[in-house]
Amino acid sequence: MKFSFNEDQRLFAEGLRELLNNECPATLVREVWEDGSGHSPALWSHLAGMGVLAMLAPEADGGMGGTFVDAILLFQELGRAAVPGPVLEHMAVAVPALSSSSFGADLVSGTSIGTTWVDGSPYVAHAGVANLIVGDGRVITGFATNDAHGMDGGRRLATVSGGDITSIRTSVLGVSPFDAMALASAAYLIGLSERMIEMAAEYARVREQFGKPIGSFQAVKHLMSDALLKVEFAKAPTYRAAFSASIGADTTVRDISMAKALASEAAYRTSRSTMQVHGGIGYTWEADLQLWMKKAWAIMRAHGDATLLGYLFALMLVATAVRLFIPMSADGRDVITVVAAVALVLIGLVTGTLAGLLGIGGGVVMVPAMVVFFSELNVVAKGTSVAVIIPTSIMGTWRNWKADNVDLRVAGIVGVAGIVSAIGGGIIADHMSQDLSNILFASLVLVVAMRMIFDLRRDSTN
Amino acid sequence: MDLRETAEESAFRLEARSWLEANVPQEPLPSFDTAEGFARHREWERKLYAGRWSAVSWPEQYGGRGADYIKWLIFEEEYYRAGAPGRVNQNGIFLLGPTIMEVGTDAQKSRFLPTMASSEIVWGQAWSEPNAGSDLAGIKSKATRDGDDWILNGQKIWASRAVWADWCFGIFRTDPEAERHRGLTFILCPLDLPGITVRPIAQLDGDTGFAEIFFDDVRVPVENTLGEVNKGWNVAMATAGFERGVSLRSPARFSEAVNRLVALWKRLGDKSDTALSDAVTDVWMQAEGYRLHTYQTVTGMLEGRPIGAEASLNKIFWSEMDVRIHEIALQIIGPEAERMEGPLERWVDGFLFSLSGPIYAGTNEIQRNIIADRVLQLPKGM
Ligand SMILES: Cc1cc2nc3c(=O)[nH]c(=O)nc-3n(C[C@H](O)[C@H](O)[C@H](O)COP(=O)(O)OP(=O)(O)OC[C@H]3O[C@@H](n4cnc5c(N)ncnc54)[C@H](O)[C@@H]3O)c2cc1C
Repeated sequence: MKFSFNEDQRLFAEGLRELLNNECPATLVREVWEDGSGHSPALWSHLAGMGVLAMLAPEADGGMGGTFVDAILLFQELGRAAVPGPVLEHMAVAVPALSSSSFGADLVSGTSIGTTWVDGSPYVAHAGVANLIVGDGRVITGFATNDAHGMDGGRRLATVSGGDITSIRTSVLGVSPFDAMALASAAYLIGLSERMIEMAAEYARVREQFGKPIGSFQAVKHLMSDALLKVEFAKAPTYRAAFSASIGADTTVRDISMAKALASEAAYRTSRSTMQVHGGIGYTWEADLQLWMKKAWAIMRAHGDATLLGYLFALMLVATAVRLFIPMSADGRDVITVVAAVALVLIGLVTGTLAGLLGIGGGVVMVPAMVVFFSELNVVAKGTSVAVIIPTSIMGTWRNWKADNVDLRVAGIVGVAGIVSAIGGGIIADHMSQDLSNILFASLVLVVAMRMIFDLRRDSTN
Repeated sequence: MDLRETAEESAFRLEARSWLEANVPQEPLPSFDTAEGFARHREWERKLYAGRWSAVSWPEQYGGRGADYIKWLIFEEEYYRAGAPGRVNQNGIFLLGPTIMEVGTDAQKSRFLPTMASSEIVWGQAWSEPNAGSDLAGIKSKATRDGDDWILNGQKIWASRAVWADWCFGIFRTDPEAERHRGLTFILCPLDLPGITVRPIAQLDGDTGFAEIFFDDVRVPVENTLGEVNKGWNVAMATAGFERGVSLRSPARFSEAVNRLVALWKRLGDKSDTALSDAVTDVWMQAEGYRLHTYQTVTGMLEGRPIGAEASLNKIFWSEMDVRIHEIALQIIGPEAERMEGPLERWVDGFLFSLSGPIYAGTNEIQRNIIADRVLQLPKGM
């Protein structure tokens, strides 16, 4: 094992830092905030010239042929400088996703600017300065935008209307655009945090109160050290996520989520501590710190909020299916003990809650639960669940009715059809072999699980 | 102990409620950190004054109702419940007013209090200086005696609402030879005198909510001195006690905020996220704790046990709670919290403002030092 960056990677990052020191000082960041553009064409061409924008495009498409490990320190450097405009979106998504398409050449050279719309937000960041928007599996061009007053002036938010949609494969070196953005954002947040800490440390060395530099007060020392702790311990997980993404590891999605979560928390803590250390000045528009803080507050909420519950539930469904596929003796029925009774009540409660919450019938919860936690393999589980569906469905319907979520006409049609087919199904079930029935049900459950995972992915990326 | 309201208190509550329901503007006023918003808030204060609701705890002769602190808290609850506008003259009515009542001469009381209650004169607080924030006793702005006048020179900073305020109350060095805390004097000064320059400063949200004030040979009569000459530090600490203690941030403000938070959670919160519902519950309990603690404190004040260094506990508690309330709100709102406009804007504005709470009225680090030194009697550090 070797957990470090190679010489080339380090040198490239240092080169970028130097470029940004010269071409992206805080005055420039502020300028593009205040002129309303949120983007600097001059800086953009410097980044294109250095090859930063095309880092993740294959050499065959005119890019640098880099991996996420090659790019991760660059994302971090961009964050340190609070680089404005759609640099991350362009570099981490638009270029690698589209480099071999007809949009590719202009994106790789930087003459066309790409941004993304993959984070579940109703607004598109940087749409006002972008030529194209990459969504999941599609590209939008020729759209109109309307500024939505984002908090971070270097990340103008807009609503988008009209435009032409092209369906296209948008895989980013094997990861989804959403995950690519989350990974890039994690590193960017770390860079932002590092710079905020530097600014505050510098201030704490020179600002004096009570005749001493405020950095000599323990309260200030601790604020600063706590921020640094968070940032340092978010770095390694972020680099690991880049590695996982580079080699296409099974854990890529998990690792990226972890990096994004830790980096967001670190950046938030850092913003609080460094603002506090600045005292009154920290609460002004004049202080450069605010440019970094607001960027952190904007990005920490974008690109990453997977619904844990949904995933857990889908996992449970998969476990059921696996268990159903393994043949078992038919007399594996549990005796109802006190523990079992309590467990049954719990299953009932969970069923009811999930049915109301997710708007699904109790059966999809009940049968798996009874199968996983008891050995109710035979028709009893299914029969029991049918009986349980009645009260849970009534409650679920009532709750949703109150929330205005019920379409009675559709429910009626589906219901009548359901009654007819349920009677038929019951007759067939009586005559079907236990194994066949299990396999059929397991398949159904698997399909539901896949759909849920698919929907969750789509919800969180769209 | 009896935690129930008396019949008289309930009647007072109802009277306040019905007046507020009839008079609170339907539409929220523009921010008082803008010229228009400031004027509109001043108008609202006039209306409050006309109904004798602008300073309920003040004596009737100065425009108040002579209400005790319990009734004042009740009024505040009704005020926030009604969604009434922020108090543009809070530095006057809640900080300077009580200080004048404590140490001012009768002439000063009748001169300053009625126009303060009516907000004909809106006050700014001119204490901090560029090099004297936490170390307030290190201020350098000075007042030199010339016959019956003070000549003021120096620079103040971070004075809230001073961009449009009419007068300010400042502390100035009057005896450069004396020990730091000794040679200071508390002086009241109109902001439109020759020699005064007010430079607006934009806050985190871009609005000019505070200002720098430059004094260049500004002449004010010595009768504008509040309290004794060279005893300004003591006067200032009395004011700061009010500020940190109960008057600046009454519990009703937070009770109202957590109720809005619960409503937000009901509307947009992910109900399956138990960490989120725990957080909402936790901060709701904090607000309730703060409310109860305050009722207990003011009862103590009514019974003659004034609040001392414990005021610092309050200041830390409400400022950190306020940040927490808004952090949770933004978490519920999600990516939309990146917008500075739209239906949820109030939460985003509130978040930015909440972050200043641990800084103004004495930073929370300083409050912790005070608690450690004076309440816990730990050995002095630094
Ligand atoms: C929104 C807002 C409104 C304000 N309104 C007013 C107003 O109306 N009138 C007015 O006069 N002032 C006002 N202030 C100023 C406020 O009181 C000061 O900002 C505050 O006292 C801190 O002073 P400073 O800004 O100089 O920070 P510093 O004193 O420079 O503090 C910087 C950091 O050092 C820490 N520190 C300093 N000394 C110590 C120590 N001994 N031990 C541990 N930590 C220490 C501080 O806690 C802080 O984290 C306002 C400030 C804000 C943000």
